[in-house]
Amino acid sequence: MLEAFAMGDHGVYVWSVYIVSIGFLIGLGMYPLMSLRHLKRKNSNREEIE
Amino acid sequence: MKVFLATLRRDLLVAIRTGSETLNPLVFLVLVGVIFALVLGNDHAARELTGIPVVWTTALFANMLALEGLFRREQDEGTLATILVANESALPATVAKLIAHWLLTGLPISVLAPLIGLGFGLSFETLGILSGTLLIGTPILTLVGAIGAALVVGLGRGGVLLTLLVLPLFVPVLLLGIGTCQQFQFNAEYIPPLLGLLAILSGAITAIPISIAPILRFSQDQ
Amino acid sequence: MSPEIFFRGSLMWVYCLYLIGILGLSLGTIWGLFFVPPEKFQGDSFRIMFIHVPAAHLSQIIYIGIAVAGVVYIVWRTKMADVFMAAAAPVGLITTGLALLSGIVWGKPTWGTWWVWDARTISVLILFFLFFGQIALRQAVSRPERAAFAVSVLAIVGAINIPIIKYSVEWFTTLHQPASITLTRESAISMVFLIPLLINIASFYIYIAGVVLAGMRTLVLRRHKHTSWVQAWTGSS
Repeated sequence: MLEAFAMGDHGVYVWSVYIVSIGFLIGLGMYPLMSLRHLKRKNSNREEIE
Repeated sequence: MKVFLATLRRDLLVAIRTGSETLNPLVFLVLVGVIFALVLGNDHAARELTGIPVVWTTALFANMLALEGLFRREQDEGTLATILVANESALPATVAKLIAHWLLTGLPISVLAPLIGLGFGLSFETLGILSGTLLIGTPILTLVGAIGAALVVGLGRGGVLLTLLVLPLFVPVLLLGIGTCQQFQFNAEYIPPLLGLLAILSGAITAIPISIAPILRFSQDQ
Repeated sequence: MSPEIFFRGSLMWVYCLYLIGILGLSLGTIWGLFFVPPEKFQGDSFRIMFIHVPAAHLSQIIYIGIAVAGVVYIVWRTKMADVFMAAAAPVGLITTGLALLSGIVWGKPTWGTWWVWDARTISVLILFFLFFGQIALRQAVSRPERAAFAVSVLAIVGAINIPIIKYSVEWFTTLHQPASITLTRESAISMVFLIPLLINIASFYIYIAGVVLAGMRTLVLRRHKHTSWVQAWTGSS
């Protein structure tokens, strides 16, 4: 099993690319959803204050 | 035609009167070229090899320094709007401004650059072709750069932004210009890249002058 | 399309695109990482391809999309085209960044060097700067209509330049590099690698479409935050 992850000498390269890419892709997907939620909360707070 | 001549004349006159602003890019060109020649030391082979890319790139940067001021005076005086209000005077006025700008930057740069090339030990023939490619290349830089200058006019901190916007677009001109000179220098075929450069120039001449005025007008209205 | 209809109608699309995209990416990635034999010449490092190729594909498509939206905006002044450009530019910047990064890391074990100045790498690098210019210009212009117009012009000029850049770079690099390094990345892909690669490319498209759409929804909401329907939406639920 460990050998499959090590991929000869190339494991470091492959895994670093995959981890960074998946991280960025998740961030890319989360960002608009989070900011929409943030906007909504800000707007409804403002309504309550007014 | 009257608008064209008047604008051209005024731009040239203003440039002569305000001297230093017109000279700045040229001094920059000489200075950077000299510094490059200096830091390369006494390695003649290295100088001969790097001479063309260095001079061409420095010429491009010098040209870009001048771009920011292309519409600045009119913007500051508030005359940019009045020039562009009348539909029929917009095109001759922009063409005149572009030509004036090239006469004040591209042309002197093309003349000066070979002198710096001398410092790199380039041969006279190579210097000739260097000057020639700059004569073809700098109008493209002025035209393409004018679009950028029209987009950022009046933004205040336009300098770095303008560089950032137009530099990627200058890459083909730079590569073809340098390529032509190097091909010539090493006795290889230099006509194809030269034709490429000319093709870009003719494309830019047809498409860009007519589109500058609408872009400026839009930047003004809003 | 009215912003309200867009906003309400697009929610389902975002969910579907996210779901299909994530499932597809998981499938293609796991397949590519564990169920494909190592490649004959490159060994295991070729597995980076399953990220690199989709990212590179997508960055070009996103830029073309932005340029088309620029034309649409200039001709018809369609607000949604501007919203698309605003949402897509940062996404394009990141996918281009991923393409560059994965290319750099892939280069080290395959060619023995991190970076090769060849036509494709330089084109992608320039694309990166074009995306950056889009974002920088939009941020620098404070009035939204002027920003939209300026960004559209820039996108169109950039799109016209892309083929010119490609050809000039290709010519210039072949001039300087006699074929010591030949890049035959995609030329010899066998069926074994092709299926997970195609799955990943398609899923990348779908997922990024969802991301851009989600970004557009946020922008629409932000731009219309004082209208009654937005107020009603934030009040509800």
